[in-house]
Amino acid sequence: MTEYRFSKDSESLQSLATEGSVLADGVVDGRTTSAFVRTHAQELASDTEKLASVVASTHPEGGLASKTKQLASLARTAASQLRTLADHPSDPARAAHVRSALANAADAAAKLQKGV
Amino acid sequence: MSKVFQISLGILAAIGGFVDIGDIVFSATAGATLGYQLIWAVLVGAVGIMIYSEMCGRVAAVAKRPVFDVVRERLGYKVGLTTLCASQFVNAMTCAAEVGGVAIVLRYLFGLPYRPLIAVSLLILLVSVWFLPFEWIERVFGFGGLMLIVFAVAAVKLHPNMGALGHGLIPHIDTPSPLIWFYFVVGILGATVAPYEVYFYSSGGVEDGWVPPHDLKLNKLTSILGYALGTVLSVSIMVVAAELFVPQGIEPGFLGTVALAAQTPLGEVGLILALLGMFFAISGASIDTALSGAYNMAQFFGWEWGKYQKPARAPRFTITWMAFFGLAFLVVISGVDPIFVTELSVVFSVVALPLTYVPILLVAGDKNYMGDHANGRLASTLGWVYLVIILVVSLAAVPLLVLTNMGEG
Amino acid sequence: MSDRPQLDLVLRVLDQQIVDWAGRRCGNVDDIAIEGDAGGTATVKGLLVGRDATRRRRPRLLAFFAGPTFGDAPEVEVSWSAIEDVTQVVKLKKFATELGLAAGDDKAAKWIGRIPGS
Repeated sequence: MTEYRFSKDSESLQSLATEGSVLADGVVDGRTTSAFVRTHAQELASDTEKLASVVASTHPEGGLASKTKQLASLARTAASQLRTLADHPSDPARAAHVRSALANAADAAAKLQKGV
Repeated sequence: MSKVFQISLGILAAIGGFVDIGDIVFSATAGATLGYQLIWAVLVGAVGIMIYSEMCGRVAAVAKRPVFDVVRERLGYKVGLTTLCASQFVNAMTCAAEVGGVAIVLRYLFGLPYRPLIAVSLLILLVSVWFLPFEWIERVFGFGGLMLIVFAVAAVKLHPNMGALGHGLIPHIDTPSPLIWFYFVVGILGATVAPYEVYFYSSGGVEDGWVPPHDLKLNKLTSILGYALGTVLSVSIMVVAAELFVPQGIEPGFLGTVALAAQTPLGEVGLILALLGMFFAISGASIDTALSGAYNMAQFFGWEWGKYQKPARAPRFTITWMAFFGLAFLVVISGVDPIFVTELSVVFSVVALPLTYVPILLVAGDKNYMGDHANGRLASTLGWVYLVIILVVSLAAVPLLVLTNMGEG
Repeated sequence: MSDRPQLDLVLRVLDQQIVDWAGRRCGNVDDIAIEGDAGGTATVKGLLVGRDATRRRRPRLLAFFAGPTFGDAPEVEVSWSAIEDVTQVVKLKKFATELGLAAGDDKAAKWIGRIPGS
């Protein structure tokens, strides 16, 4: 895990988490379909899980060890939230919670990236 | 049916048929990555396909020759066979990408498991081609694809920065990664000037029995107006991606991300129209690629061909388009990501493009063949200018694919 | 034959579509058979259609690829006298089956014909 790779992986997590947040927003406002949310949330969750697994399996160089661990943890949290959204695609209350959790994960990933 | 109505139907079908999975993927990704910087590339590609398509249609009407007939005659057997193999490889990849895309969109619409939906997609496509006459294939899938106008509505609703949009009409690099900029230029040109569209179009012109001079006007209107208006759809996708994804740092990795871009400003109706539009556009493109593959084989080897024929009257042609769908099914069911295949097919189609463009350009300009309908000064100049553009892009395509890691950096 | 003093065999005959008397497409001109020794008089015997006729013309890397023939005859020689006219296509005076052409389509039709709606 180099600084460049860390930056790219952080960006990927921000993208996936933000997109999940936008998807959840549609459920909160009742402006989407449950079939679409279920399917797309599953796709995002699957990609986020892969990202978590890849980040966790790297050998971080320099002072990246702690940040890499945090990034992997954030990715797992985001994936879990996306799975929740996929399992409950028509639940606005749960979607509101998922929305903020994913937005927080994206912000945290952005902060990690800035700190590198 | 009045001629005006017939022409209007043709143009509408061309608009709806303009966008396929390659256009959707590359327009959305270019918009999300580079904002408005590549709007000019969509327009350059649109002019390219207009020129290519108009020449093919004119050759079909005057010389009664579809593309692969001309390829073999002008390039000879050796180069012609190489061209055929390259084109069929790209057709097969594109067909697989499109069939996979249909299954993905059905999944978004119905939430059912992906693998059975691949079989459902195959069945829908096989039945459509088997039973629907040629014009109905064009109309059903062309008109259905018009639902993608929802992206134009979404683009307007997002109140894009018109200054930035206008600046996007002028080629300029405003990114720390110029190589990625070039990669997306190649991708957009490749997605817009898709060769399978002209194989299908020229074969359709011969099947429809186009005759000069009257049908030449139809050819010009369909090629120019149809594709010009179709460009609006591609540009709209780029605009919504730029407006929604750039500020939020979203990289579109799925077709669902593109549909989300219609849902965000327009709600559930926008989402459903976007998904239905994608279904029809991508299905239409699947059919175009499978039939193009069959047209190419039949024309190169001299078999009987034609969608107007009963299947048993053109049996090898029929078996070939079915084989294309079968091969696409096998590729997609093996688990290969259709979006990944889309990106590869667009790049490789750019590489193969000069091989079919050159013979058409030569025949369209040949007065012995075309008489008074040979390329005039404007068509000839544009034709040769675009040949240079196509050659440059085709040489740069694979190196850029490798150097930019398929646009990911 | 069309009203031309000369016929460019390479540009106007070789690789052209062949259609039979009924207008059925039945192959392309894969090669041209010419008889006569070098230095003497050469005459065009006829057209060659089939995978054996293209063998000499294939690129090295695709030497074994003749395309799917579905049972076409390996090579058919169509006598020049069987040609009605040469325009955008080579039109024959006889039906394809009489000359042994398009056998692959006839065989493939038996499979396709089993599917309803064919």
